[in-house]
Amino acid sequence: MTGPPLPPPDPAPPPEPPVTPEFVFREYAPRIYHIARRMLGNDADAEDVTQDVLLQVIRKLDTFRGDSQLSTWLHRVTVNAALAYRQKRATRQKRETTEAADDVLETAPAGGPVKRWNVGPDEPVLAAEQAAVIERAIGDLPPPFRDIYVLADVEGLPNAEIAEMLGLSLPAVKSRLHRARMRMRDILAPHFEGGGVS
Amino acid sequence: MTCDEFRQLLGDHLGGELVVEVRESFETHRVECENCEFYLESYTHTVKITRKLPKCGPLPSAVEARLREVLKDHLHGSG
Ligand SMILES: [Zn+2]
Repeated sequence: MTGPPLPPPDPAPPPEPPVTPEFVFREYAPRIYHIARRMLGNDADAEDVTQDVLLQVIRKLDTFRGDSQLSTWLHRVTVNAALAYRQKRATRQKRETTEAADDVLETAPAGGPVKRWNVGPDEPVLAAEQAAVIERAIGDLPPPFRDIYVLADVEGLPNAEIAEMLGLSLPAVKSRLHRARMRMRDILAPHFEGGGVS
Repeated sequence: MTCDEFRQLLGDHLGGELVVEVRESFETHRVECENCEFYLESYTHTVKITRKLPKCGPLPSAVEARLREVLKDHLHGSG
């Protein structure tokens, strides 16, 4: 008897997969959908935006040299499509209060007593109920703050990139992000002050 | 430094962007003011747990089916 077969020689690194429409769909449709859903707070709207973005991307596929370039571009197109979608919907609904909310976001004033949060051991993955509480809190942020919070703290994009995407100055992005975080802290506080998520 | 001024610096603190002189008075206030220490902890924790949210998940199957139907000419077209 011979021994076990030798492992095959190290294969050459696989070539970058060809960027076909099917590849774009499988690779990016979920990401587009989830960013849009967090920004718009609505499944049906997110689906519309995903469809719109996929169509745009597939039509322009020839102009992309590779996957990495496509990925950066997709973030931008998704954010723009979500913003445009919201704008359209707001106009249809006789303009919501989004403009008034642009610079006002109420947060608990400094100076009052602050309770220490009772946070459990540092787990790498969030418990499902904690994730649900945070998702709900994000959904409660007024849109201009929610966009920045999602892009910065969920998606992890640099402030400068967000500023460019949204057509805002860097200080404006930082200031809104800070206010969004303070508001998120206030919304989450009751869940952590008592000890654990309730 | 007031409690309000302290709060305004939390974003820069988190981003490691406080300049030295400001950082000193920031740390002094933090040690002397329990409310602000607790606030800083909870602010930081808020950002930390948000960063742990899954960025993505599978597309709900009904959504995937509808999108594939709408895009079918593009998905199976020129390739
Ligand atoms: Zn203080």
